[in-house]
Amino acid sequence: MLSKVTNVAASISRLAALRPIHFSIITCLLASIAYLAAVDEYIPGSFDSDQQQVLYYHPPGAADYSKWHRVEDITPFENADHYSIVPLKFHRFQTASVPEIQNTIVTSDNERLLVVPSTELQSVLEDLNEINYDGVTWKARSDYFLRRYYGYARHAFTKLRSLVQGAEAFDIGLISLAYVAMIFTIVKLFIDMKQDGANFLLAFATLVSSIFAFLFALAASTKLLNTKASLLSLTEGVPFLTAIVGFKHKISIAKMVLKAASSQSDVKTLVSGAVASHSLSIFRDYGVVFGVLLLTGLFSSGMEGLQTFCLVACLLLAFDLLLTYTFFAAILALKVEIHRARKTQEMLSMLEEEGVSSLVAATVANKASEASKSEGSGKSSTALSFKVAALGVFFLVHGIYLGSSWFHGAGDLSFAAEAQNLSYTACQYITIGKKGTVVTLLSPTIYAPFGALVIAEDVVATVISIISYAITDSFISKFLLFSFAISISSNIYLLNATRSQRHATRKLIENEISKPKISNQSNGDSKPEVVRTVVRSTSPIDNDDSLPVRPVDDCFTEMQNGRLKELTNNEVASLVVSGKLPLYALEKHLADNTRAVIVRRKAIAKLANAPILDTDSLPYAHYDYDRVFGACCENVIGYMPLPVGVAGPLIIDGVPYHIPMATTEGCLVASTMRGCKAINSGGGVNTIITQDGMTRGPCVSFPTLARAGACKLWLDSDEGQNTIKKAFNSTSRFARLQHIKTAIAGTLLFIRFKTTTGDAMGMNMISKGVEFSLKHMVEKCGWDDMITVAVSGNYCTDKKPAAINWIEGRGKSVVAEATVPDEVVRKVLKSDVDALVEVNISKNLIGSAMAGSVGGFNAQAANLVTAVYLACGQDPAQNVESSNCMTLMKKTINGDLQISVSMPSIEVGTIGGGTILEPQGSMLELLGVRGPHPDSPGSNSRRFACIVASAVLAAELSLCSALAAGHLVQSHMQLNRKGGTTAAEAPAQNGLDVARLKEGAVNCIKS
Amino acid sequence: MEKTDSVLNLTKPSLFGIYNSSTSDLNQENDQVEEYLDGSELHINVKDANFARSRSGLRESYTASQIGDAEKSAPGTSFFGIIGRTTLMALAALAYNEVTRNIHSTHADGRGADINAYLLRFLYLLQPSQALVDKYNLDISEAKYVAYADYAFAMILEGVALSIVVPLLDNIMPLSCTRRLLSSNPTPTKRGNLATDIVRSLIAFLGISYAIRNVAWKSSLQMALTWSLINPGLWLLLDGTINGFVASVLVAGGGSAIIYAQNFALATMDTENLVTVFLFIGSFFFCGVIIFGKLGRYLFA
Repeated sequence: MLSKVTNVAASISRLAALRPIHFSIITCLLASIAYLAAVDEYIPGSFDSDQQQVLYYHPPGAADYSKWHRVEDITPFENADHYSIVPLKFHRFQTASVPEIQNTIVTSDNERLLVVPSTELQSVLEDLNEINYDGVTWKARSDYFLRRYYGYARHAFTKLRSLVQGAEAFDIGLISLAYVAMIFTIVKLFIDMKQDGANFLLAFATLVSSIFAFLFALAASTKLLNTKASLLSLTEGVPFLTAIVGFKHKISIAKMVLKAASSQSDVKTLVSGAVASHSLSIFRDYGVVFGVLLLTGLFSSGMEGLQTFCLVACLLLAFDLLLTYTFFAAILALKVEIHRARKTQEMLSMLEEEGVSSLVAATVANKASEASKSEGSGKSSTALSFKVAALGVFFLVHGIYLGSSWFHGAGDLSFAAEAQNLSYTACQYITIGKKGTVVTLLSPTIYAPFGALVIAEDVVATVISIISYAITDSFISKFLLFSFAISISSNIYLLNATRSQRHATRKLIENEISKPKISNQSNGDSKPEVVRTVVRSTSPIDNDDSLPVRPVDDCFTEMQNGRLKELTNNEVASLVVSGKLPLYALEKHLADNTRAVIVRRKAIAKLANAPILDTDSLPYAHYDYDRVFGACCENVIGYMPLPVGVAGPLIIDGVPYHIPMATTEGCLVASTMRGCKAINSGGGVNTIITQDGMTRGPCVSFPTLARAGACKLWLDSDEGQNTIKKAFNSTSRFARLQHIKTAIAGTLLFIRFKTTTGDAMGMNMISKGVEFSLKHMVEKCGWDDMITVAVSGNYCTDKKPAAINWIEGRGKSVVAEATVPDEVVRKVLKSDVDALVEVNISKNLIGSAMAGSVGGFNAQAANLVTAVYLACGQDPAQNVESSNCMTLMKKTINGDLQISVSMPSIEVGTIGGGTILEPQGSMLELLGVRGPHPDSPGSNSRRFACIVASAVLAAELSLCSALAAGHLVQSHMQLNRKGGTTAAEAPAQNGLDVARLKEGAVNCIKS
Repeated sequence: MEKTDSVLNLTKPSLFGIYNSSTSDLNQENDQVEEYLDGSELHINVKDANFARSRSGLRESYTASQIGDAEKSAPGTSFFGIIGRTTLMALAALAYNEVTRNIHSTHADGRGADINAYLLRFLYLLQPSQALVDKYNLDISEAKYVAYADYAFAMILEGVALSIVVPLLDNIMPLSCTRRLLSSNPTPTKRGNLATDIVRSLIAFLGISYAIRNVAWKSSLQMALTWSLINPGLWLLLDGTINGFVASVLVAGGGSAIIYAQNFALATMDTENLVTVFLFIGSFFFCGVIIFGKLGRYLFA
């Protein structure tokens, strides 16, 4: 039963996710209709504007105030005298005094009553439109909608006050508490959504969905069931209901969808899955509240108010549930769709800047956009804001159009003000006719002194009335309706277009890559042999040895005729061996990357006389060579599998990470693991990034030393820096030049460009900028005698040991620190804080100083850096400078160990390079830093640098403590050897200590 | 080649030399400390008996490794922690008593006053000096503060009594009983957001109170029956654990029994009134345990 309900819910939301715009628009339309139906019942007088005048009749005879009585209809008194009374209210301001007007009675300071025969009313009022008196111009104000809302508000307030006065303090407390709770629930909704990266829009959509449910419930109860819950019971009950039911399920669903946006599944499966997984909890909560309300409704027979409220509340819950599965699911789907579409574009441009061929870039972008995390997508794209704006305008116009009578019904105060009474004073001024007299009491006309404010209000009111008039025009309204239909359908079309964009691009790429296959297969009927070859080439094991190999010359002729692809692999290989086909061009000629690898292996096996390549010792099958070709490697003959271990969790800045390490050195992962555990016990690693900038140091030369010196001075000046910055920054969306450092050697000038590079490691990006900047210097800045000796002048310094990286930093400069409790050092690391500090000073500081090290003040930083780099697709050669590290340890006041690593030149990127390969990318995903950061470019790579430094920290701690433990064992042994005399003084537990220390003990000589 | 130490040292990675052991030894050593992730929360479990014993002596930052939401941060066991908990309990109990008294006071037929009297007599039971006063017929009208202190003590006692049952059962009963029924949450034992939870419970209860006060019921019995029927729904909505239900029923039964024993007049009451009175008294305890149980799980778990 339950699973059936879940299935139904899932399929509804699946449909909603498939057609998000349809669902949301239809829901909005229905909600507007429901609103119209309900507003009629709950805001009285908003549509009938006839009540603005009140009629009183006095029968013929002597004037007597008590004889005035109210009448509804004027028709029986056609022949009576007609008078109109218009109260004139003056909004005073300090100096102006209220004008004297003919035919008026003074009732109060600011009020006059105008009594005129009804026939003259129109002309008198027109005369009174503007009154000049005492130098002040008074202008009649009609009753604009703002004032009317003010009137409603005041009415509501007085009603509330009278209620409050009548109620007990305890009840008031309860109700206000309920309102506080409701506000808390709503605020919490926004906070919770914000926390989890869902933006304001989603929280708002949640709220709107519930409001719609409320409207539907009101409409259904009043129109379909003919029961109207009183406004009072609603204002009392709804806050309780909101606070009890809350939004937690919707928040949870939204969070789940956003989290799962990283998966590869399509949107409708994603949304329906999330919704279905919550159905049990949702049905439980809604069911219980529904049941309780129903029960109360049934039990409280005879109590009309309670019953109708229960009914409305039940309907509200039912509609809310329904809308969760339709409207809310549709909004969620829209959100994910838009996000994915945006991601693809960003990723593509970044990859292309990194120099990855556009085809590969497109593939990667497609993949990544599906796998991308959607957290923190606070910035809404223009497309999104357009859609929201369109929806907003839709609602606005809809509201104005449908509720336009609010603007036209002038002077409708029947709701806002209490019913008017005929005043005694006014009656005295009215003569009673022979056939009686009818007095029409009109709503007051308000006068305000003419000023800027009044003009502004007039203008606004005129504009609005013109707009609303235009909208009600029969032609324009139809036109608007029509254009909305077009807008909606084009929106749907656009959504489908973006949705299929990724799909289409992928299809395109597949076509591009598999073109030969398709064309071959289409011709396959006539050439069965060819088909066999093609099929075989994609199969992992290539065994077409059985096929006869034609002579090389025949094959060459075939190749000349453009039928190279139809040859067998062995035949192509023989062509390569005989030098007829270059080794590097196989991919291009065969148009099949995997087949090119197979052929190349065969060829190399012959050329290098290495039959091992004919076996599977070096694997080649099941690998995505399309990503490699043109981006990662040339002359590919296979791939090198490396074992990947994982160490962790390691808590870095409060977040646990599992660190992948590709290594063939035993003990490395296990020892890092030990370090992680010790560090976690102390609360984890804290990291800071002190700078982030990739460098490139070209070498330029000048004919004379004077020119070289002048150029150096210019580059060091503000003007030079700014000029170059401008030129450099124009070359890339992501690279931003931070600083230029110069050094001179003879007539050679070395310029070290330092730039941020987004989430890419950035060498490609920066090289482009450097080349352009140098060209700019020669052409535009007057350094036309400058010759670029090398774009990379080793002043960068890339992949070579150099003090400049250690001193100035390169890439990310990270410091990671952790405090390990004394207890943990002894029990987990089997060591001792003092011994550790001593080993660190002697080995990592003094030892490295003795060896004349630059940046090598550590035990094994390179081990970790390289292992993580290999696992995560970083450039392994950059371990040279990335491993620059100084490990420091000290004893804190509490006797605990504080350990830190300072690594000034970690060069990493989370996009481009080896990270575009799926295995490497997946390891970055394991760390949650794959691809470009959606909001702040560079955040992912900086995070990754912190992870590398933290892993180094763990490994340093582990290795040093192992060394320190050995040191301790030896000193204890020495103590014992000193013999009998000291044995008595030596604490008896010495033996115990030695035993403990031996556990983790070691031979430190071997290091 | 013979596998002498020197040969092994040649072929083994350099780290083997330092750790002077095989990787498996290191792994065994690592096994001494067990870590597992639950959501974003890291639990560290050290097997070494010596270590475990001395663990509580570690600095704050060691326990701070339990990263995660602030919701976990139950007040400490320090002196101030205990004072804070007790005050919280007493205040909650006071508020609860006041609210229920107000609900009962609206009964048209005067039953409410009776019920309030019974509940007050029950509270007397929890006031130690009051018992002495009654026993020796002392006049303490001058010493008001004694009565206040007495009342405060009763509040604390009541708060603790209502809130301790659920966490107690959580400890005794199997895990399946602390799990929320009918939940699609993968970790039903993990409580949701505490603030939202308590607000929900409170508002649900207050909503019922409001309805009971302001609806023109035909009779107290109708009112009592409706409330009693709502109670299980309240439990399923707010708590949903078997322990919560068992605790509520137990306390409701126990409380009613005590009150019945206390008041001889009840024995002579007619059935309808008796049912009404005890439905109300039972509801008082039932709702109390549900709401205070939430607090208790937070404060005592």
